[in-house]
Amino acid sequence: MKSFLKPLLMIWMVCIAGAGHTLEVIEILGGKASQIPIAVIPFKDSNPKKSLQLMNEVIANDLNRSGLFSPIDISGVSDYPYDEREVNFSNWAALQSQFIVVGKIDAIGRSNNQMQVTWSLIDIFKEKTVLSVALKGQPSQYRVIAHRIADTIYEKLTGSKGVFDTNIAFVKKLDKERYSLFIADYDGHNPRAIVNSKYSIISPRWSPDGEKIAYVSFEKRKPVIYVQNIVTGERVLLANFRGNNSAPAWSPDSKKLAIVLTYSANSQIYTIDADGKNIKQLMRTRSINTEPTWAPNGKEIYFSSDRAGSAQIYKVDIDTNEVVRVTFEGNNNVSPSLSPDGKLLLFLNQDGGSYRVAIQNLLSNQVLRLTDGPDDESPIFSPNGHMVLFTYKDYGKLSKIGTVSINGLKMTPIDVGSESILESTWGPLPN
Amino acid sequence: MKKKALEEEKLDQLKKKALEEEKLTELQKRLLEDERIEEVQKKLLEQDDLERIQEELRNKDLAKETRIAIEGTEDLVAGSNSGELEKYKALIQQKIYQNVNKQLCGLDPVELTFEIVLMPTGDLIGNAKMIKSSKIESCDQAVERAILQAQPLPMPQDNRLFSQLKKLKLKFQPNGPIN
Repeated sequence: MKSFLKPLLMIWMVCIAGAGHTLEVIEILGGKASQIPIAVIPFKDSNPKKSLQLMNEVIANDLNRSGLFSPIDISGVSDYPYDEREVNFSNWAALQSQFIVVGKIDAIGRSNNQMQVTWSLIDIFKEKTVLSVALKGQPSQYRVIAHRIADTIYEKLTGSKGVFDTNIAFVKKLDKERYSLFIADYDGHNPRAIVNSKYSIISPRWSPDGEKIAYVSFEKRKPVIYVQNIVTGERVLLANFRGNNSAPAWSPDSKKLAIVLTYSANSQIYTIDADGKNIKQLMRTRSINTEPTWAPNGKEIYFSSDRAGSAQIYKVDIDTNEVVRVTFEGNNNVSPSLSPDGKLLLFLNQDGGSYRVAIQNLLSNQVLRLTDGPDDESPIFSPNGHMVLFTYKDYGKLSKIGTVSINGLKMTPIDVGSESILESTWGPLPN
Repeated sequence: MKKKALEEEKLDQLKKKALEEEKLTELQKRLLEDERIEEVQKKLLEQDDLERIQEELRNKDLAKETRIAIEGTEDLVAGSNSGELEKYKALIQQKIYQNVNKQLCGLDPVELTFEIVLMPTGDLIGNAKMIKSSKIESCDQAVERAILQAQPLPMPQDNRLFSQLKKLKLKFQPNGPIN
């Protein structure tokens, strides 16, 4: 009887609701590029270790770097909540916080040498827990665990994968005759050298499958290209042709590379299999073609060329060799690369003497300059396309690396010591 | 002996000076960064202003059309009332717009529709009900937050006017109009 009446009742209710006048409609067109205010509270630690108290700072720094969040200052708060029941929602709303992250750390395992982190993401407006997760690990892994927590928060609130548990690689000039290629956490922590050389190393490029790094070395007294396996350390001399061998760029499937040779005359683009076989010239022109980069669809290569007098960015269809000019703003545009969705072009824009990192929306062709220069170099997208890694000159004219968010709101240096950094690259998302 | 002490003092002073200089450059760097942020925000605000003006123009057109429509059907709403109604609709629109974070809605044009029921105080009764999703969860959530965050919404004192506004349909196009 009850189940029979229910639909009837609902129809009756709908009729009542529909009986009034038609609804007023308010249209809200557009929006802002704002940052989500979030409070990341220190986790309650049953066995306090100083390093573990830093976990909330690692999480807050990650979110801050992305440019999509603004961690709020909690230094004035006296009573930290550790779970949803302890959160005073009106107080946190008054601090303009939209979300709050709380948690606790417990020692587990036979001799308490493991830890379990139980944390929650809580929505201040809806007054409810959005996520609640427990993670286990070694206390020494606290940074990795914190990065993973930040990734989970990022993905939940932005819908995109976070990149806080990824790696970067960079070349450091230790002194006049010592160069090292380092791998480190994306924020510069835990650096370890994978190549040491007396000669300069440039243009490191991480393969999309994460296994290898291609780079240009001057150890043969001229630029040649090596591909090195990161795990085994084994390396292959990919290109040592007549003239210069430079600017390696991986295809999206990691099976091929685009490279630049001065084999026949000036710089021209070739494609080559990752094992060094099957080399082919891409186009034949009298102008310089260089800095190739693959589109995510694998069918086009973007590159810079001087064919129009100034340096501009073009794309070429790999099958038909048809070329289309892409950039038009500014004196020179160089060093192209594409966002993982293929919708944004990242490059260096030179206007009035200074080189700045810029992005162009390939649908609207609108250009947004992300940095102020004047000597910015080698920009590369984070694997989710939300941040850019690039090198810049600091006040002492030393070359440094940093990230800038693609909304241009957050430029953050990466601290990897005082030595000059030649170039850097960003590894893919972990599998 | 004295000489050595003097030298040490000098050295100390030099160290102090170097430290101060370091602090100064640090400060200058921070100032520069602050300036940068301000500039970007200014730029974004300018862009917002432009969008606002365009939006207002569009609203004006819409208001005109509505007025013409209303004038055409004399028996519906009193003409003097419709100006007030449009005013409150614009105020509500403005307050919610401030909170829409379009960065969470991707790059392609999307559309979302919500229905809300309001108290005379401008607070929501129950939740904002999503009628049409953007099909991007982070976008749906961001727009819902924008509505919740805008409470209390501006509401008229007049009871008859309130009855027209107490139930609203909100249509969002965070990345601009869909063609």
